[in-house]
Amino acid sequence: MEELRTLARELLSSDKVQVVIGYEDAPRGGGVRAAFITDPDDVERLVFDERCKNNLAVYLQKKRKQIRSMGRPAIVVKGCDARAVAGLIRDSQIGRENVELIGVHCAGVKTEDGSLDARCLVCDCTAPELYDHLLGPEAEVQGEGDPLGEKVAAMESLSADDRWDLWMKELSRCTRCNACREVCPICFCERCVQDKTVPQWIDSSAHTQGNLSWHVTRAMHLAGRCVGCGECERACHAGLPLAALMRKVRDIVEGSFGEKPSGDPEKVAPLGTFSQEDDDSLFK
Amino acid sequence: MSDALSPMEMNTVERVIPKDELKKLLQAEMEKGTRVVAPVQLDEGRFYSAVSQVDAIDWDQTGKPPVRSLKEFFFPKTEPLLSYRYHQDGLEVDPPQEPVNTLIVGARPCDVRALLLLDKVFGWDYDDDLYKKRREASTIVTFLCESDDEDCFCEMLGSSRDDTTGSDLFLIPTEKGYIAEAVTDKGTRLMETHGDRFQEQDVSRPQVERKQSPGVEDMDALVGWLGESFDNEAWAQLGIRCLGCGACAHVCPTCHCFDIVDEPDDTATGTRRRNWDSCQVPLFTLHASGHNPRDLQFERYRQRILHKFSYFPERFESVLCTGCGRCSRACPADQNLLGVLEDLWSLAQQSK
Repeated sequence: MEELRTLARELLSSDKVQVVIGYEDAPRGGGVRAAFITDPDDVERLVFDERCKNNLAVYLQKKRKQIRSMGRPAIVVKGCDARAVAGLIRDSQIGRENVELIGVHCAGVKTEDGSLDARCLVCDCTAPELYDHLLGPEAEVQGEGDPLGEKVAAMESLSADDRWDLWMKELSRCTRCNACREVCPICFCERCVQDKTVPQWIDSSAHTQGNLSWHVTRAMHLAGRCVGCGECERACHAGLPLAALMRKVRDIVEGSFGEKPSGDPEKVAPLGTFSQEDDDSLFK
Repeated sequence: MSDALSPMEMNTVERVIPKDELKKLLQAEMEKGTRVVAPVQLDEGRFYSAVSQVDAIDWDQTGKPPVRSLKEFFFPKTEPLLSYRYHQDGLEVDPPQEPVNTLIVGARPCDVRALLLLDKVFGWDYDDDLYKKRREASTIVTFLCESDDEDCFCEMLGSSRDDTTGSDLFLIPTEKGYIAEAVTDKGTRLMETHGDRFQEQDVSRPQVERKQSPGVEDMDALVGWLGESFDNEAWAQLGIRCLGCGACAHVCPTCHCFDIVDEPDDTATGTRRRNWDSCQVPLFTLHASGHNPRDLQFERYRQRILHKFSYFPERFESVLCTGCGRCSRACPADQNLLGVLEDLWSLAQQSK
């Protein structure tokens, strides 16, 4: 923690950055929340531990105009967050030179009930792959199993009809609050297809048809770009199994193109490029 | 009984309904075709839901309240206002369906008070028929709240766990069953219809502990200060981490903004629908020109707070909040309403 605060103080004092985006204790509830530190004297507010579930990379998006106006940011990133930053750089949301990355080793974040978050059990990036500074001792996830993978497998074991019924039931609960979109670092579109009204591509009503249309479109648009941080499911008050949906999407991308989420911003997104060697067996 | 309740020493004679009898009452109502709505515990959390079996009901009043409020049973997340068909002879319009008789059981006092706030706005300059008819077709049986959660603050807003305002029938748990208090004629009728299930019993009423949270000491003074504080520079910090989703508005028992859309099935038929909206999303105020008068997220967050604690009280003499704490629990960015109100209160104190 001291290491983090010292670095933040240096970065702010030297005017290398004008804001440090990190975590601070929330005033109530015992959790943490995003902190935006602009004064070197405020660095004591910064914390990092297993409560730091939020993917702060979302605050680097172009649409976050207030944060953008604060100047050059430094941001605390776990491994999955660093992959989201790489995604934002890859998709021209922010230049690599325009952000200072404070990487932190992470042994997984915990849910409200104190258990390790399911998304962290299969983590393959306890050390960030992209950073300017790397803090803390190396970390290891203490936990076994893959509940998310099991959930996907259980869904796949159903007949097509039963699977359809299951998803209709799940999707019927969505209220279209858009928390999945707003908390997702990769959902950075300044005008989302869902908000387009002329023509209205996606029914804005929270009936099952509109919800299906929205969530399938979103999943397709995130294919090859989703970093698997699981924030969509955490944000969903209605408890839709969005992390399972996106896990399946990542599995398909990996199966089709051999590509996994990457912390390398230079690496092009699998669906963002064309190569002569691409499998074209689907064109008949 | 939760820790929040402890039996009083003196016994009184009360009308009491044992839990088994309450279940039979609900069963009898279901058989009459009444829709019964109650809290249920699902994999994804506790929700108010229409139930087809009494055994599905979650009777536990401790812990967190249902994720969403009762709002959706009166003002659904999406509802048809009309459907239309063009044909050779002209245009045919079908009105929306009539509401079904509904019995809500296991309501929290805060959620019922929220309906009184919605009544004000849905019956203000225009009587909203859909909402009004659903209100008329519903009877609400509220339980004394045993929740203990640091996000809720009903007492700061002048209410309490045992606030009967707005309920038709109020039930208080004791060792022998629920003490039943009819609050309205609807509640009296429900007790009369099922009279044999209620027995006169000698019971001790639970004592309800008050929360010891200082919070905002003078809500009227805060409302007054907010009325003059639109330009306060603190808003930029108070709303800085808000991500602009509508989770707070959707779980809120009193947020009532909606959007109306026409959804055509084909060139000749379609449905006009009313959908929940939220002032937190940029599209809410986006002009056709591309200009957005609430361009930055903190401006949208300020709108949410000022609507609830300044503009609404200006018109209806009450804040548009019940202190249920749902917005704080649902917020993926950890915005905490009580924390923000406390921050605003200390700013109001400093500006004296």
